[in-house]
Amino acid sequence: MKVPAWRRLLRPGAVPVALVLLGWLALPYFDHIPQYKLPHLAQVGSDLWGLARSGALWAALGDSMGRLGTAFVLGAAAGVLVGLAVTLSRSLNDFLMPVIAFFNAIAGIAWIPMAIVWFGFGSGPVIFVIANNVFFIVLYNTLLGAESIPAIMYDAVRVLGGYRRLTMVREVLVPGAMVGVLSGLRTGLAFAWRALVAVEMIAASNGLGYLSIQASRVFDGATVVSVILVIGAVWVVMDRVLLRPIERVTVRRWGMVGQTDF
Amino acid sequence: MRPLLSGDAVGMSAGGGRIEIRGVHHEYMRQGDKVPQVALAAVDLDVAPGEFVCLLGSSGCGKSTLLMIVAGLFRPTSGEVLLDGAAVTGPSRDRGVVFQEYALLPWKTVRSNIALGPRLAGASRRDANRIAEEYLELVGMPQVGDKYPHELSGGMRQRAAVARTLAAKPKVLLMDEPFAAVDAQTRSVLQEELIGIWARTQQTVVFVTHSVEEAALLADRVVVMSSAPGRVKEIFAVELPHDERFEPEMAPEVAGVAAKLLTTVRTSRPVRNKGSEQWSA
Repeated sequence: MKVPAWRRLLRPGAVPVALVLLGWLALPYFDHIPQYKLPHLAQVGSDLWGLARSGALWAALGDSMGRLGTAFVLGAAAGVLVGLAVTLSRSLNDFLMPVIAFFNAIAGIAWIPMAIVWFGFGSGPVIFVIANNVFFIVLYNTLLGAESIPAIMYDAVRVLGGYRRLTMVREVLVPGAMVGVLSGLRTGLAFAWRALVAVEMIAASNGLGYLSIQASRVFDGATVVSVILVIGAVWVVMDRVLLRPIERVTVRRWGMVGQTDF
Repeated sequence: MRPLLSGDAVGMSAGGGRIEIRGVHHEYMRQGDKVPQVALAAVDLDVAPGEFVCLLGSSGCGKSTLLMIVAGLFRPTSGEVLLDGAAVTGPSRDRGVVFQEYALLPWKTVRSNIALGPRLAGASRRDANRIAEEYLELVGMPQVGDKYPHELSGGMRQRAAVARTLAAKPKVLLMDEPFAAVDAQTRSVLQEELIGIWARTQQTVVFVTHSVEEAALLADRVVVMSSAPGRVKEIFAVELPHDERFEPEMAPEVAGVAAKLLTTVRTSRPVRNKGSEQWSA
């Protein structure tokens, strides 16, 4: 059933959001918190408007999203491919998994100093660190997805005349691992988005993370909070327009994950 | 329930379908065991082309193991299975299997599940889908092709699984307790439908069950197996005509056969070596 937009605002989930906003509005009246420690809602609003009008926000957003997209595609593609390959080949599994387990522990932030040395300041280290992070998350989820396929699915295809390995990959392994792959993509993207901003604060000279760290150096709390709001909003949009629709037409449609739609 | 329809393309199988089981012996190691468990000991059995044979026994008698060996999904420790004189070395579309848990692929629509056999045999997508529709019609649910397996009831899933197996045109149909997971009412409908389909396709059927009533209703011959290790205990020929067994007035005769089978199953509990503990029925 179609719910009108104004009714959606009355959903239970809207209540905590409203409470947070109200608390934010009320806080300065209870205590004398200086603007640089927690800027007023109105202050942040006008700052955000200013950033949007000047184009600084869109430039930073564009830089960050470009890096995110590149790193995510590279990391996710490699993660799925290696995950499937390791599932298919026992010897490749024995060969690669120890080294993968080791590098999984240090995936992400720990690489930043090395990445800066290798690629210099800018997009290079950001993309490397984020892709690295995404790779391991997607890889492990793909492995889990592939392991969760019941052996009887392979048997069912074999007795129908599926004798070739490629048939098994196409008919069973790839679609069967989909639950794991999709949850890996979703977790991977969420981690990538968070880590991206952190890495940009250290290793880049533009993007949302850089915008935020620069603002903090001149005690511009309003911009820092604006960036926080933008980060949260971008994630919600990505999740709604990208990840959930993919899930809806695949694993949810197939009844392989719970039917609760939120 | 809608009656079985007769699509023209759904006809007799390619012919053949003689199964010879020669001295099949199967052992496996359980975790922590020092000696292997014997699942099947020296099983010999012939099934004639077009015959409907039930493998009957209590759980653990190796009847499903024997079926999986005929399917080529298990390799026996020794002995062999021949289909029309050729040794079975692995799974093949000659020997279709209907699993107890349906084993439909959840990511394919019901139509694509059924079309998979023809597709793997080289049919075009269009032809395979047309064949799938014919078999959906055969199992009495022409309207569910676009649905996904999880949207069907247990009985409908098992019909879809039967249709998928039949659509691959196997010479023999191997069924592993296919109706054990559906409710009693649906089960009796499915049993009657299966006999209707079998009467038309004239395929060899090996049907595993632990229900004496089911064996009495379906089989030309019932192979009663004993357990630990699994062996053929006794073979019964059921003389009642197939098309009459589902008539209400035949119920006493069918029940009589079932009672006789039950007696044999009961006395087929394993009797251990003299001196060790005796198992009583």
